Amino acid sequence: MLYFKHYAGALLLLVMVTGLISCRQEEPPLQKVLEVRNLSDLATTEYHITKIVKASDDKTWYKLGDRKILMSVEAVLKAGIDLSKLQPEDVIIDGKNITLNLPAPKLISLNLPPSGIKVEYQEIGALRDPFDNAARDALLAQAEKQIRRDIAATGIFTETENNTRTLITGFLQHAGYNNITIRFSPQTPLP
Amino acid sequence: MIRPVIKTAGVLLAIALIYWLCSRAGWLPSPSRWFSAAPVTIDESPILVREIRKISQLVTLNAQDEVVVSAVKPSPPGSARQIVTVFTPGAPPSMDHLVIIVKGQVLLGTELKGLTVDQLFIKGDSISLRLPVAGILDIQTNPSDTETFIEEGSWSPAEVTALKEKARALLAERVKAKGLPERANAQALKVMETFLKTMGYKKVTVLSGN
Repeated sequence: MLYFKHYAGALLLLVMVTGLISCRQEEPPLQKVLEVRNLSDLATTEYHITKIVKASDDKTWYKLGDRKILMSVEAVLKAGIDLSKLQPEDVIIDGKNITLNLPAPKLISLNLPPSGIKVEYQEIGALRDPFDNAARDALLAQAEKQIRRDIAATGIFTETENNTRTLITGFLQHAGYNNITIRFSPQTPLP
Repeated sequence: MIRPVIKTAGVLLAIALIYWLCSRAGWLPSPSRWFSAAPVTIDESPILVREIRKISQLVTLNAQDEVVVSAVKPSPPGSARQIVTVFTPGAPPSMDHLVIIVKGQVLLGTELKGLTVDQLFIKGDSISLRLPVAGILDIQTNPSDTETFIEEGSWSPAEVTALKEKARALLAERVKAKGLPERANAQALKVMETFLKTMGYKKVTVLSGN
């Protein structure tokens, strides 16, 4: 009977400590001051893309059962040219003729808005926890990396050259130039 | 009596040495990785281009900022956290917390699409241009720049999305409060003036507003 009382007391203490630990308040981190950078980018092309993110979490030997997730991600890519790279020697004017040597198109932004991310399907084993937000974000970060790697293959830079040419040609025609030649510097590989 | 013990210890030592050499060579996992979870990697999948748009935006400012957003809700009945609280005398009702740190980038600049012929005047080597007022063009809050600081309880993707949208609104608010649209406007005038001078115009006037 005495042993039972000891065990019951210890169990109650354990429950209370667990409860107090679960009720603790962690201080959220402080917000950092913003950092501002000047740009001179002329954005001329916007691509709306979709990517399927598929993952299976079944490689850890001590976790019983597996879990799978399928998400769709919508991303917006913006590309254009950096006008600060344009130097006076890149512009050759001869009466009504003008030749422009523009910098190579570059990616200005890659945006994966939260509203464009959808969990399409999840299969969770009976002994596993569902994918939490941190796990989903880790998978989406991998998808973001794959998108960055495959950007050039979408043809966005060729499209950007065409759009920039059209935009600047229109402006130069309005300025009175008849013969307009626009060239672009060769594309350097993305970092 | 001692010989079999030495023999067994020798065999065990040899096995341990072989295992250590194999783990150093990368053929077997090191003991420290026996209980670490295997990384979950996504499969390769193609990019599907849904839409291509022609835009004309002069991006003149990039503001990198960090905001913290949080959400609280009562733990659902029957959840482990709720049960622990029920059996803890004096404990407050159990709440689920989600705290996210979002590092975002806000792009500011001028939308040139609204530019009309009336806003451009050219005569000889003189040019006068009136640009639309600069504003926020884009807010980037990508998963690679998002950190989940606290995640207690179960949070649905819709609840997380709502919290991340709150972070985006907060980023926009902070950028406006710091007067960055005005700074982007001043930078747009400077960029356009430099561009037009590079194009050979001697007298350049760039203004903003209607």
